Amino acid sequence: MAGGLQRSRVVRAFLRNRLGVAGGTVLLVCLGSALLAPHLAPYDPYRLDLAHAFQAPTWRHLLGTDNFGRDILSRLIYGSRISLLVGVVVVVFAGSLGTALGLLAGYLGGWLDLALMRVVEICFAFPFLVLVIAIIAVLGPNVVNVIWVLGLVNWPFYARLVRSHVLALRGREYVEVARALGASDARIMLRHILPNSLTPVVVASTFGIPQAILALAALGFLGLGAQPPTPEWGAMVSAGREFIFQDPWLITWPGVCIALVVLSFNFLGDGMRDALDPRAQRV
Amino acid sequence: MPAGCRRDRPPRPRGGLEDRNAGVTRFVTVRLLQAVIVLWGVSTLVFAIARLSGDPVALMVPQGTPPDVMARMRHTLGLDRPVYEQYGRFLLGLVRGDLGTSYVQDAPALRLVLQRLPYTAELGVAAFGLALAAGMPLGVAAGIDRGGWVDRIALPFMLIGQAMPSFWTGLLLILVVSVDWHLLPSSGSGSLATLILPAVTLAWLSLATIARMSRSAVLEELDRDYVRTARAKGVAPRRVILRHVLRNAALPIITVATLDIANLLGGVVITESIFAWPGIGRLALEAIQSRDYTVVQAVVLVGTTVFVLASVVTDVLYSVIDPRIELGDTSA
Repeated sequence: MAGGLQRSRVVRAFLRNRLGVAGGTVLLVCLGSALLAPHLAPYDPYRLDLAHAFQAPTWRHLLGTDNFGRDILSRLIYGSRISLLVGVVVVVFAGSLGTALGLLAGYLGGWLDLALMRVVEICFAFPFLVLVIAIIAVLGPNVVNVIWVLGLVNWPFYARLVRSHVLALRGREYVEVARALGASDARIMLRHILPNSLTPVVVASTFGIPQAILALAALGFLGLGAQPPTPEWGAMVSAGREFIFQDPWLITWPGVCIALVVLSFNFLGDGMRDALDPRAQRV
Repeated sequence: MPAGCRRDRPPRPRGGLEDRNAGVTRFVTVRLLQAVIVLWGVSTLVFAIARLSGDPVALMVPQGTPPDVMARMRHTLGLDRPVYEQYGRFLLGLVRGDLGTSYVQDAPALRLVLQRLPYTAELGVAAFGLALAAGMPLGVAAGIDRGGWVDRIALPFMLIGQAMPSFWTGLLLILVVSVDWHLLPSSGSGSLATLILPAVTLAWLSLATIARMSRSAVLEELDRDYVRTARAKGVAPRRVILRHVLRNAALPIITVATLDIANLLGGVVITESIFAWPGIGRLALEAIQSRDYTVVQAVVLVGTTVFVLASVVTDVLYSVIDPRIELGDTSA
């Protein structure tokens, strides 16, 4: 992987990208609030207080209260835990499965490669939210099932990415040398090819996390993800929908959170890609 | 709905020459065969999913159904038979157009879906047309005028547009256009006025994606040698753009736009739910709520069939339109 000198060059290149740094900063704040939720949230996100429902933003409730009088800011802070956790777990799951399969397919080739790539092609050309909905309809709507399904649906992307890099690396001289020196296939794959294929996976993951967060929110909105009273952002928009005429703030705040986090991840990803791959065209 | 990089780099068509007519026939045959394989894969998946829970009957009847009724249903549906026999019957039924019976609505599932399909088609076509008609010019204008005022306004719009969840966009549109301005109805179907908001909502994400793609495609073409040559020999800038750059950028843009139809189909479920649009997406959601899995399954199968056929048609159209595409190269 990158040596010390190269690493500092990558860091400097990233720091020059203002949008990337801004995205990273927002995400650090978000991560901090997710980790410290019990200390930061001014109220219990589940505590009902019907006497103070539908309050506009005040000093007591910085973002107001919802239809049950729950503090919206506290619910958003706890919601960041769910969104970030699901986004990361889905990508780690899909990313490791896809990387492993892509590595095997690209290195070993043959029928395994052929079969796997057919599966990947089918997955790419298929409207997956529809299938996700069918699976959730059977398994039942909850966050754990959403993680499973999104992970299983997203691995082909990583498999194809890793495979294409493995194909390029397989013929490199240093791999030939390793083989000539008697290294086993497993060793060549794990020690020589895998580390050099990880950079694109990391960049792709940065774009994969916001996609998973959006999918979780969409399923929550449709009633197929996190169930009320869980403070998940998509489910919060769904709950606020009933009161859209009465109190538009209810759908506004969670929506802003989703858009902001997704945007930040996209900026971070753009910045990382440009910094890690200076040859990539800056568009 | 694969996750990952937003598509920034347009795929390039491959070159090659061949006997066109024989090629087209073979190409169509191969694509149709592939389509059948995809559909077989999806039906197998649907069959397997129904058995994930252990008891498919439980997914089809209202809660609280007496156990003896469920046992009788299990027998009528052949669910006490070996799995391979059930699978064979299931596939045979599909071939004959039998997607099962909805016990909740007491009607063939296929008929229920086909009744709702025209609404979804109307919404989907309107949204796709809108995304293409607005996204392409926007992206092209931004690309030509890189760093200029169009670009500086369009780029943040595209980036933010891609980050906004579509269910939120739809609700915000209702809030502003229907509630504040009293301009358009927030639900219903049957007239142009009721179509506009759902179509804009559904088009939103694709619009941003297509605009970004068009921008990159134009920028990439502007960088090429033929543009420099054309400029150097004194071709008018307007003509360089219209005759040279746009013609070459069009194909990758359209390719990505059609790839985005898959996302559009997913978005249909959300959009129809927001605007109470009576298409197959809302049918699926209603079916989930009333534990009517046969209908959910039928929506998945019909939706996939329509989608797969549409992609075969577009693939064939390309190969006819653009002679550079190598026929028989089906790995795209």
